[in-house]
Amino acid sequence: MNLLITLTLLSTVAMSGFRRLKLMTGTFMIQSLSIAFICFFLGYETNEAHYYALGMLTILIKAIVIPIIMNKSINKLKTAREMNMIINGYWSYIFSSIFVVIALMLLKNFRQDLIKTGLVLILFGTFILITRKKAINQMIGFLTVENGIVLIELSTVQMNLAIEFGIF
Amino acid sequence: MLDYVLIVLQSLFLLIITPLFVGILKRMKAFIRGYQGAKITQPYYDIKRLFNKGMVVSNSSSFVSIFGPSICLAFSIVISLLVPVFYTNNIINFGNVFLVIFMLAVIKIITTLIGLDCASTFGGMGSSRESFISLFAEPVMLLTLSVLYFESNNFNVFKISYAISNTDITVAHILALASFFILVLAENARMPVDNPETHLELTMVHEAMILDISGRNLAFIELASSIKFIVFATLLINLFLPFGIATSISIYSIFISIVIYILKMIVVLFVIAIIRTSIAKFRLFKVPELLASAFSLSIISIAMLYFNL
Repeated sequence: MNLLITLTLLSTVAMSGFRRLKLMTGTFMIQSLSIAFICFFLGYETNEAHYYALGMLTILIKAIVIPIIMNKSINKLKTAREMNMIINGYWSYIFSSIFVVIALMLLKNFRQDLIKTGLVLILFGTFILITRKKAINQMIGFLTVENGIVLIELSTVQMNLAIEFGIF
Repeated sequence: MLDYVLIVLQSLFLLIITPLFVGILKRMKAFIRGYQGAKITQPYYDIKRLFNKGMVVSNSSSFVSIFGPSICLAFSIVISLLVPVFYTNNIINFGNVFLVIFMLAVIKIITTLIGLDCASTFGGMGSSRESFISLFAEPVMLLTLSVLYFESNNFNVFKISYAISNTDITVAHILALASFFILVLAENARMPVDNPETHLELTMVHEAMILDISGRNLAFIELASSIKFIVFATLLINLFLPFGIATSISIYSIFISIVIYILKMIVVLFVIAIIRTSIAKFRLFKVPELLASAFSLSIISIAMLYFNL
């Protein structure tokens, strides 16, 4: 569990400074895969089927279908990397670390790791959304926000499966 | 008393096995690239060959390039006494983290001076690049090691290793491990930062500084840099992944711990070899970006320790 959370955070931190589009989709794939495995792990611990369903859907859509579509559209583009970010790579790493500190400070009294990780992912996603100019990178930022919402949803009180699909 | 004997023995073990690890790294790289490669004992023969060669000293060089390599080797041998290899204990009083980092920095300073000493253009260029990289790497190194302080309330390398080998590995610890791994690559002139095997003038960092040295001095400085690299890898293993290290004196536990140490080292070298063959060298001005990611990881892990994630 610790390892999976670490993998999610590592891929998110790495994402905040990358320029090359293919690397962005690759790290996004790693992030979604680790979130799917978090779902499987929770399902194994609690013996409830809806975690498995959520994990399977995450793998199917976020780790296979969306990266394939993105890679196809990247191959049509002329430039494979983002040259003029609004905030450059160096500063975006430093800002991202400040974001994590803020997120952890806000959620100081919560016990669960997944809520904190989810808020961190939402902040990183909005950061990617704001600072990039290319459409694909903005899409990845939006999907990162969505991954964060999935993580927060995983740790809250159990909802109906239909609502989970809606959030998904 | 037996503790200190063991520490001397383990540092001797580290010194003897260092060229073997470098040979293993070269062999792995050759294997991944698909050619046969030299034997893994080749670095021993290289050092022996260099010891038998004569020494050519440039007319314009001063005492720095004559004594510098020996000072480097002396410092690297002293460092090898200060790190745990396969045995650690809670009662050892030397081996402060900052002392180790300081001594590693002394090696770097003297190599930089050697590069400047012969007044060749490449040497000066290499020195300026090396100091540029270490300017960004050193503060991040201190931050990453302060993560260990927050975890174990100690600055002593042996005590940190002892404390962490008894606790579970947390998220913050793994993030600090990733940060330290980037630093190991950056400080030892490994692949994304510098390519240690080319002699192409535009890309050299470490090689450019020792171009003017030959013979025995070259052997000294090569040994010093490879010991520095293996010491960094040992710190990575024993501070961040210290499971399986011997904490009591018995033949069985020490034997097991030596085997685990060698296995972990081979895994680390394999990861380095994969990174080396799969990533192209960064432009020099992209290197701060890499180190900024290490900085961000270490800040995150400190925040996690502070706010109990």
